[in-house]
Amino acid sequence: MTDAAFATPAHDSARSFRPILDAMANPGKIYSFKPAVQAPAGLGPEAAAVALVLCDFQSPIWLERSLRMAEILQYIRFHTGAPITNSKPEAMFAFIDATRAVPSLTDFPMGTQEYPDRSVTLVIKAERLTANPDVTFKGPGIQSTRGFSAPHLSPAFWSSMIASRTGFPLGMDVIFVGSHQVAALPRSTQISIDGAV
Amino acid sequence: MNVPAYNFAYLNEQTKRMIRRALLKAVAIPGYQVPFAAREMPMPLGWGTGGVQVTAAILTPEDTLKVIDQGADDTTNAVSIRRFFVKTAGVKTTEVTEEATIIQTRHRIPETPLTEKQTLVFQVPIPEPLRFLEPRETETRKMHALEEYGVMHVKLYEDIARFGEIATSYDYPALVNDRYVFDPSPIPKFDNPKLDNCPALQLFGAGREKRIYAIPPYTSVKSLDFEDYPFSIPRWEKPCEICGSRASYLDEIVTDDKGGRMFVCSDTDHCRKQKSAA
Repeated sequence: MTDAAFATPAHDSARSFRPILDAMANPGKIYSFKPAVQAPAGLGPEAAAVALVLCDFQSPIWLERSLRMAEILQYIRFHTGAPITNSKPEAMFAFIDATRAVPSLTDFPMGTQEYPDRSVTLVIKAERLTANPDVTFKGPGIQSTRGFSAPHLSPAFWSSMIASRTGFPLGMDVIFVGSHQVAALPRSTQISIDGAV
Repeated sequence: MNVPAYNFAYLNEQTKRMIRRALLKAVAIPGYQVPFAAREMPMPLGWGTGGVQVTAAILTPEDTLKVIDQGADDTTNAVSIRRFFVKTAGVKTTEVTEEATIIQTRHRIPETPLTEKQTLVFQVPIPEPLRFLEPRETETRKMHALEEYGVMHVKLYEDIARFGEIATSYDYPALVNDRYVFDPSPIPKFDNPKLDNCPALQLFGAGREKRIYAIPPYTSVKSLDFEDYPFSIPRWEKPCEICGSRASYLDEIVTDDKGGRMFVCSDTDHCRKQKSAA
């Protein structure tokens, strides 16, 4: 049987959206995120809540291979109605489980010069997010600099995120979810791996 | 049991999802105008339908809402929007700036400095700063893409040539995060310095024009100017005639039909606090 979504959708989605919005406005800052929702084991309640709050028939979802399990597909289809696509250029949201595999990020839409908003939002599931300065963020939403770390995210991932910044305002935005945590990395944030921003 | 006639905060859930997606992109690209499918609201266009939709999409049952119109909590637009959210969302409201978690505003930024725990929602009539210089949306899109903002400086220069100073006193254009020139809505230019490096998240909603844009906390917002004609804010010769404040933005109030007038704080909450402290 498919897991239940929000019991009171209007209140629960509003309470779930605010930490996501605050996270996007304060890049790298980790917010408590305990959505009142059941979800398939492979997806987890935090990533499920992001899908329920943001996705519907207007927002095609791409799932990393390890997330293309029958119960996850059914959950997303039943509760959000979002089309599930295997084509990266069509994706408005891409769900990735960093503990399993991080795909190449090159084919996702980055927007156009006139409409940079027509770009993908990556939802990356990690076990635990911390403020360890594995990488250092700087930019809008950050008073000076902010350290961020998520295990399983390789230097190659951060290099490709840094590379995607050269075309600003084109780019991709990331929502990280950990156990009872949410954080975000908008394209406006500068990233440095060695701490020097 | 009383079945509520509306969904929480009036909008249906699909509309909120659409607005929430637009909000996240707006925050991710500071100053860029994200198109969104603005809905008909139960109030006329021009009365803050954009701001109302943004507030409805971010509001939670735990929020405390403050609504101001030209700085005042007790004017028609502020009262009707506040009552709208009391009726449709049942949220707490306040007139005290420090108590509010969300402040919806028409044409002012409160005098009391905002904090990281607050979100400011602006009602915007014309979101495109270049619109009166270039009426075609296709062209202004290109101008933003190419950072082609010379025409805006020409407009400010023409002010100087005609009036001897930059005469633009509200809707004063500014550069966000060194990338997008944006329209801060018709706030007086007195308020422009408050946009810069503000600890609060600032969201802008234009209902008729169907645009959402945002300034994240601690983001650089530079009012456009020239080296020899730097940006400056107006000062008044006299203090507020109610509270004596010299630091706040003053409105001219006509008091009779014999030429009587007085200058008072436009921010009613600030004025009340100053008066009770004096």
